[in-house]
Amino acid sequence: MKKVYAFEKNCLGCGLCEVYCRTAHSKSKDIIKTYKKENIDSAITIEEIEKKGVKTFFALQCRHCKDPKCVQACISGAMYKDKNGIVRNIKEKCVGCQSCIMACPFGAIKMSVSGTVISKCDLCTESGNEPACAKNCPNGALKFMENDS
Amino acid sequence: MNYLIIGNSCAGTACAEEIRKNDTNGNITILSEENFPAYGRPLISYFLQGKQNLETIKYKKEDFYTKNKITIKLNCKAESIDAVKKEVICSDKEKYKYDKLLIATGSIPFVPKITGMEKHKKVYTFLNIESATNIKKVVSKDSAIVIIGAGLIGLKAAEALAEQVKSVTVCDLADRVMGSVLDKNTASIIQKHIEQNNVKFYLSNTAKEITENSVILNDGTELHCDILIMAVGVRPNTSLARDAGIKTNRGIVVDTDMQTSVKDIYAAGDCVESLDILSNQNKILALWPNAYTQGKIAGSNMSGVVKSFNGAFPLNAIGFFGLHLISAGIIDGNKDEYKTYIKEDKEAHKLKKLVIKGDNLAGFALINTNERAGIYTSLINDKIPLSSLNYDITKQEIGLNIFSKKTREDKLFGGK
Amino acid sequence: MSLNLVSDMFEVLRDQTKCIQCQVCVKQCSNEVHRYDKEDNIVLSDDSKCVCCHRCVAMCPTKALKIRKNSLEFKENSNWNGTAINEIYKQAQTGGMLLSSMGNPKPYPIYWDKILLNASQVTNPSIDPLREPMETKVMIGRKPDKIEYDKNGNMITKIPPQIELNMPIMFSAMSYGSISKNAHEALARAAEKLGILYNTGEGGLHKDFYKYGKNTTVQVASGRFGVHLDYLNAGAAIEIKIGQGAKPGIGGHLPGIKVGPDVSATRMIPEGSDAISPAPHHDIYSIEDLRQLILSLKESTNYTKPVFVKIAAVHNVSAIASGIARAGADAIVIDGFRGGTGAAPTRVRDNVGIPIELALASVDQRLRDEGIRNHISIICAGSIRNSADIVKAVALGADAVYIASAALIAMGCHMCQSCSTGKCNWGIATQNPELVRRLNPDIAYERLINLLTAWNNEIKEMLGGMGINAIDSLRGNRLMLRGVGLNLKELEILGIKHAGE
Repeated sequence: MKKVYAFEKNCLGCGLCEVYCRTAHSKSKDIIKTYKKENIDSAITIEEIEKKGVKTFFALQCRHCKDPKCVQACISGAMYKDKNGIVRNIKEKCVGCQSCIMACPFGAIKMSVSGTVISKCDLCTESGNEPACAKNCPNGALKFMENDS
Repeated sequence: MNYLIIGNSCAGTACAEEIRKNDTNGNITILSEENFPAYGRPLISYFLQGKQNLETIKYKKEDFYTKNKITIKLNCKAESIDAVKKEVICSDKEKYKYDKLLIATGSIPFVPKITGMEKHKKVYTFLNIESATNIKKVVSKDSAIVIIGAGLIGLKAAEALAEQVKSVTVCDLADRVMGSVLDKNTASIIQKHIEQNNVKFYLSNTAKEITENSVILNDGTELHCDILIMAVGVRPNTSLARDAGIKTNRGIVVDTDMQTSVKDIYAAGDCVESLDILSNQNKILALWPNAYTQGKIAGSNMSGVVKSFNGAFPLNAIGFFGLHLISAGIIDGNKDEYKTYIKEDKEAHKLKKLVIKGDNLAGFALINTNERAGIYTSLINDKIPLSSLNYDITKQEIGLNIFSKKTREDKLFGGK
Repeated sequence: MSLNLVSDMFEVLRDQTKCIQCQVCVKQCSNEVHRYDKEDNIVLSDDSKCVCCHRCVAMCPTKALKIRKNSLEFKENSNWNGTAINEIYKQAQTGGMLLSSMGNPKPYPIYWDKILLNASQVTNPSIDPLREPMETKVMIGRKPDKIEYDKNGNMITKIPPQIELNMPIMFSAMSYGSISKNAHEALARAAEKLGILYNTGEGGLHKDFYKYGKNTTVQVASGRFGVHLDYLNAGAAIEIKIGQGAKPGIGGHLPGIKVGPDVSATRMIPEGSDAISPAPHHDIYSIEDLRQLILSLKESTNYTKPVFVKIAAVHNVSAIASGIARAGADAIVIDGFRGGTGAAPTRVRDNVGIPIELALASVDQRLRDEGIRNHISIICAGSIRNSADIVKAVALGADAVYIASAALIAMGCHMCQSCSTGKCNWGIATQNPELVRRLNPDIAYERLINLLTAWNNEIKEMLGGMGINAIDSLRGNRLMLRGVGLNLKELEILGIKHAGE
């Protein structure tokens, strides 16, 4: 399936993916309103690696695993893998128990800012477009693509 | 092919789903003694609290049974297994034939005998939707609740009720909350947090006697009690299996293919003993993810695709009043064998405790510092030598950056 | 000295109604202009550090930032303007020479903009390049005086080595050291794809780029950094760098801080040591000496590679060019005073050398007059800004042009002229690995290809308009040019008529 892949050699750690992730999941779809009026989570974590004083980064989002540990661990049935292979979370069912956070070997699931449910990448399926993070990455560090390796 | 599954929770549904993946034609029947489709059993406290309703608590989507062509028999308690005739006799006197059978009967509450218990008219256990519904019916804002047992179930019941009733008191013979899971220090952080939310504790001190409206503790303290919740513990529900001549210890004994001592009868979930890969002993690991994995592996083997279960280790993620705890593995190891690293912020109720054995992470407990906890879990699960990592896990926040570039890219691009 | 008299060059304007405190600007500015104040949840800017590179402006997701020239005025004075005063403050404070980067920014005349092209009307048909063949291919190298055949019709004249270019454009010399490895990779790959050459500059050839040898000019400069037999043989052509338009008569200085492990290995100098290119080649004090080096290089490469000689456009450029042609060079590169640099003394950059247009015209004319124009190709360098500049250069006599500043701009350079700080926010003129990463070679490569493909199409369009179907037919065809607003002397040197004549 098509997923968002992060290319460390191109990632600047600038954080624009997070800005666009939040906006894509907002009601207003407007960056300024999203930030000033809506409390929206980004489903991306920017990881930083420092080696010999040089920082490298990569933006991490859900890997939509074939056999997702988060789905196994979810006690409420909120987490499921849909027919397209996308691992999703039904907010209404989620109780924020963090079992998925405990299980995800990538550390790709976060608690939402509200603190009551979790937040994760849905590949921007609702917009029907290329995921906002990949689309707006200024340096080609996030690519929405098929990877058979 | 007739597949029969006793038990409609995590292991049972995972098994059915897996069978259907491998065998599109076989008949799958699930027997459930409850009168409710599969639900997130640990969610009953949220239901009692009012945060979940009978709709949202459902574990599977509406069309789960029909889509997977599963016959679901609710209100249908399996009473005995005839392993020779390969049939299960149920409370409805119906006989269900099987070629492959899964026992996923879960746990039953353990209720100790306490003097005078029969006098109290509102004594409940708290393990299924029925018990939660019953408690929900009787609680009022004037209720004084006493919970016997400060384990996971007792504490979740306390959380669920704290804001709806006059008082909640929890007592336990153990000297700490969640005694079977936590060490003393970790437990004390959780206890303090819960106490700040209107719950009172009596520890090392449990019910000696029960009257019609009170609970008398070992030290003589008498607690007024309108509703009594017995949450002392649970036991694997093994009687059905034992009566059928299946080998059981504390739980049902299974092989790595999840098959019991009797051919074509499999078992999975809280009712079985599984290998704890950290202690290398067979234990009851009554854990949701474990039940899921076992159910799935059993289902796979039942439908002819050989898979084996390689063991598990304790894992818990739980929250009380906005405090979140994630713990895994061994968190209270002896000092000779285990090195313990603790970072604590008492004020903020934050804790990070890592337990290291040799070159491996053996366990951890995190309170309100749970970001990327799954990476710690994977370090235990995959037995990653700590010396192979990019940095010392005791010195830096965990992240995928702990792995070498190659490993990291393999993980991210592997899409496993 | 406690009080800093130098006034800020720019003002950073942040529209707080648009700023969302995402801190992308904070993370992106290598000059540390922006900072986030957690207590007040506000992003603030320090104007004094701003070099006006526009990185923050381009990256800001809400377009909340603008940079403008500092509005702080000195009392009006057309002689002692703000720049003049601030430069004195700076030197009075530091005691140092002023350093600048990129080309001469002063308002000297730009002759390209005073020359107009012809087009066909009625008496000869114009050509539509979309319908008819149009050749922009050029061959760089020495051409024989005559071509002879044997009785069987086989050519017996030995043709000296030639470089075939798909368009009359090459990437000019920029060393690995002055620009990043990613920038070099983009240039090398684009050159390969476009069928042209890029140029190593005086920094040697990184081992990863030997595979682009067919599209590489390897440079031999006064420091002789990274020069060895494999290097000379790796390229398609060899260029001896005598001078550079931005700093005629001046050597080069790559500070040790930019000499990391990779640059050190490529240049063959110790890590962290300053790489100093002397002002002259210490083995070239005459045309005869130059001839020796040209022949040594040809000998080393078995006479298979053309040798270019690059000089800055200076006062007696045409006589020097004649000498270079006679010394055996296959091409001469003339670099005008607006050519770029990674670093040059400001006074030299802004006051030394002559405009390329005049230099080019006079060199072409002199070589024709001496009957040796066919012995050498002319490559015109020094601030070619667009395809019209190229067409005019060819009509003034150039075989091809070099572009560097334009290529950098295509890759993202914003001409902030701060290359020498090593903190290039666009990942081009820097060796800082975190900054280098900002230039994704895949993206830069595509942008370079886009630019030159567009220019080549425009060249064809202009050629067609003049009724010419091959760029070779335009070379030195000054009748296609007319001057506007030029005096008689300028027209005479350019060898063109005034518009209306």
